[in-house]
Amino acid sequence: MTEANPLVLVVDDEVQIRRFLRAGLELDGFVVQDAETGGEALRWATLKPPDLVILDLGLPDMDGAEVLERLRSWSSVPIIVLSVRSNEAEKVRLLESGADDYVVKPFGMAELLARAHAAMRRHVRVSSGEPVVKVGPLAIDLAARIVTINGARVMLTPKEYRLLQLLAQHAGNVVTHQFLLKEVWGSPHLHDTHYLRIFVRKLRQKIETDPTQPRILLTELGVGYRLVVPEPATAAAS
Amino acid sequence: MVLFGAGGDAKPDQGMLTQRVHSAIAEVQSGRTFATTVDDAGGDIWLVRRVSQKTADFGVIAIDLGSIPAAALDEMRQRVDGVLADAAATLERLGVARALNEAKMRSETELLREALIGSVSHELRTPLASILGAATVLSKSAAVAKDERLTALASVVRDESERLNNDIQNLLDATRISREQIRPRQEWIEPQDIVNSALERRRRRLSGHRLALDMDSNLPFIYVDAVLVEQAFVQIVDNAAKYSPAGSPITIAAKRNGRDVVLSVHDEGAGLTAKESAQIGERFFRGERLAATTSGSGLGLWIAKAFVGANGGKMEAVSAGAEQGTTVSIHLPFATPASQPEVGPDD
Repeated sequence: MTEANPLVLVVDDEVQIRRFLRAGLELDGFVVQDAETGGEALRWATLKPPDLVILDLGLPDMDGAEVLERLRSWSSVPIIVLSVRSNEAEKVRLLESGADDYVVKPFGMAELLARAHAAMRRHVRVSSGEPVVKVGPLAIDLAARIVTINGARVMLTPKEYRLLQLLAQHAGNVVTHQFLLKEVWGSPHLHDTHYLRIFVRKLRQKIETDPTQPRILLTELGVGYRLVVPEPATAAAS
Repeated sequence: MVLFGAGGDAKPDQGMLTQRVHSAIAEVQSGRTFATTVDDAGGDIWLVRRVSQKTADFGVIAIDLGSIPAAALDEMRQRVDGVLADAAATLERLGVARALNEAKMRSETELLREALIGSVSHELRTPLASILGAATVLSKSAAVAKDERLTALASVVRDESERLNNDIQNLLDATRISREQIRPRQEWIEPQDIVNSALERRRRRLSGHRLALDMDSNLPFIYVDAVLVEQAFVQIVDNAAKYSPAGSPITIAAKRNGRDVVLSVHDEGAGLTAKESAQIGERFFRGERLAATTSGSGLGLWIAKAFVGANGGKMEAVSAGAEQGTTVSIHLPFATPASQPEVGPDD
């Protein structure tokens, strides 16, 4: 992956959306490749493998969800989906088909860039084997299984740790209820969202300054949870 | 005597009628003739008539005269037609026909209107996404970022397109409510999560107010559609920000009260008169005192009320009077503590 000028494939049939995405992404140091249709997107993705894909769901030739699935069948490239509001079930479906994250239209460039950088960092982390995830004052050493806040050790139960570990591996991106339930409690508990509520409450009491106003472990209503990457880490000075 | 509806809907038991009477009724209903007399082949004579000569709206009447002698038939027919003419005249005076027709047309235009709102709203959203996105790119560009006036302009474009987007969302929500398409997807949720999510969504809008939070820790979980309740709460927060002066405090609270979890927003703004208190939350209601100086559709709190209601809760607005501030709260039952969710021992 070229960290200096990463290549982003922007898939959207609306010319005005492509135009502002190109400007915003180029300002942020990306090299932009446009695609207007799903077919074109898939061709570009094989021809010039991108470092990031931004995929609108409403495409003229095929369903964005299908483009996502086909891309995922051979590529682990970070994919951010552009979705319309008020359909949480659809967001969950897309995340489970392999999208790294989504932004809801209309959205600001900063929000999209934050999601995109988080997804790209995760891919770098996975390929480099970097063991420590830092989220503000919180540090999670995935190799040593040690969690600290401002350097002070936090004691977690095995399940609490597992939950935090999964969120840390996706730091900055949303993780669905179903994924967390399956990984921590196993498939029979796929719909027991309340397990998560109880453990997240316990976890917040240990890692948040004020658990009633969490700054680190945020809830995405109807979808899942997100460990927040603090703003300064994502603000690209331009 | 048998009376047939105009639309051919609720039909009485027709098993008692012979084929010939059936055909006569069908003929009158079809409008080929207004009146006919028929022998049912079982010895009875039937008079079949449209109730009104002018309109089919009042239906068709079939009267069994029995084995009436031919000599008496004419007189009987005249008497029946006389009675029907009186009845039809009365029905017309009462405007029954018009009312029936209007009800039918109203439901058709209502459907049309809502379909229109639905598709127009979606069409408006796409350009709005471009406008808002472009504004955020502009505000970060070197040329604009170094000039405060330009940054402020880019910020106006962003704020106004967000406002427009909220108005469109309100139209869509209102349409969903009046079509009774609200289907809550309930799950256990931490009450503060709803409040925090709503505040995060309105961070820019609330930046001009002094925000105070007062949330209990360890509130009971509630079993609701968190997304709907959040949208209701966003409406309430919007209202507080809109009807209270910049710089004034807004207090957000999440508390337990008996068997309810209460999420509330208190502002120190325009308040409510007794008359306004009674009307708040009604569709399209906007307080006259402020309608001229603030913009709005009068849908926000109506939507909030509907979303809260769909989750088994209720919404309440309390104010000590005009200019005395307002507290709007959502009350959501959490059932009994025993029904709170549990997990097994944490291994």
